[in-house]
Amino acid sequence: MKLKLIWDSFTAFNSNAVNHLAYALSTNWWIILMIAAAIVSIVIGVKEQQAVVVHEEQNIL
Amino acid sequence: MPENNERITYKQKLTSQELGGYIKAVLLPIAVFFLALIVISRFGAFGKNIMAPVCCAVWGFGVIVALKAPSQRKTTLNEVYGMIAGYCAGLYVIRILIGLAANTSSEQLMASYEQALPQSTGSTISGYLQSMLWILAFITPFTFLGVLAKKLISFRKTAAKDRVLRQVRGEVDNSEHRRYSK
Repeated sequence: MKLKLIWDSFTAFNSNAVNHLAYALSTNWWIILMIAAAIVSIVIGVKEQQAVVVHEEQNIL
Repeated sequence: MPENNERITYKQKLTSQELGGYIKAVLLPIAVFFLALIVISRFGAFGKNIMAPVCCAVWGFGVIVALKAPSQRKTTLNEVYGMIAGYCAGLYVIRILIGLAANTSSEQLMASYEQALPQSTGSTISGYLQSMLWILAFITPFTFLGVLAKKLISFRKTAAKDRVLRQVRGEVDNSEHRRYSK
C-alpha cells in the first residue's frame, strides 16, 4: 500500500513536471530557441573535446 | 606452428580527465538551461517577456561567436554558461530579497538599527531592490553582448592581419584551394 502511494506520487510529480514543461514551451518561443542554442553548444563542446583528445594506436609486434 | 595473423595493437584508453571533459561538455549546458527555465518560470511575465529573450540572445550570440572564432571556442562557451547561470541566479536572489523586504515596516527597521527613520523607509528597500532588479536585468546581458562583439571583431582583425603577414612573407595562400578540395 505504502509502495503504491510512493509510486503514484512519483508518477504524479513527473507528469506534472512534463506538463509544465510542455506549457512553458508552447507559450514561450524563446525557450525553444534557447533549446536550439543549447543543442548547438553541446555539439560544439563535444567536437572541441574530440579535437583535444588524440588516441595513440600502434602495433606492439 | 600456425601463423597468427592477428595484429596485437596498443590502444590508449580514455582517461578519466578526458571522460570528465565529455561529461562537462554535455551536462553543463543542460544544467544551465534547466536553471534558466526554472528561474524564468518562477518570474512569470517578467521572466517570459524580459529574461527569456535576453537569455536567448546571449546564448545565441555566444554560439555564433564560438563558431566564428574557433581558437576561443571553449572559453567563449564557458563564459556564456557562467553569464546565463549568474544572471538567472542573481536575479532570483534579488527576487527573494524583495519578498523578504516586502513585509518590513519602518518600525521594524527602526528597531533593527536602533535609530529613528522616516515613516516611508519601509517601502524604500523594496523599491530600491526592484530598481536593482530592472537595472541588472538589462545592463548585465547588454554589457556581455558588447564583450562578445568586441571579442569577435578583434578575432577577425587578428585573422586578417595574419593573412596579410603571410602574403608579405610570400607564403602561398591555399585556404581557397583547401576549401574547394573538401
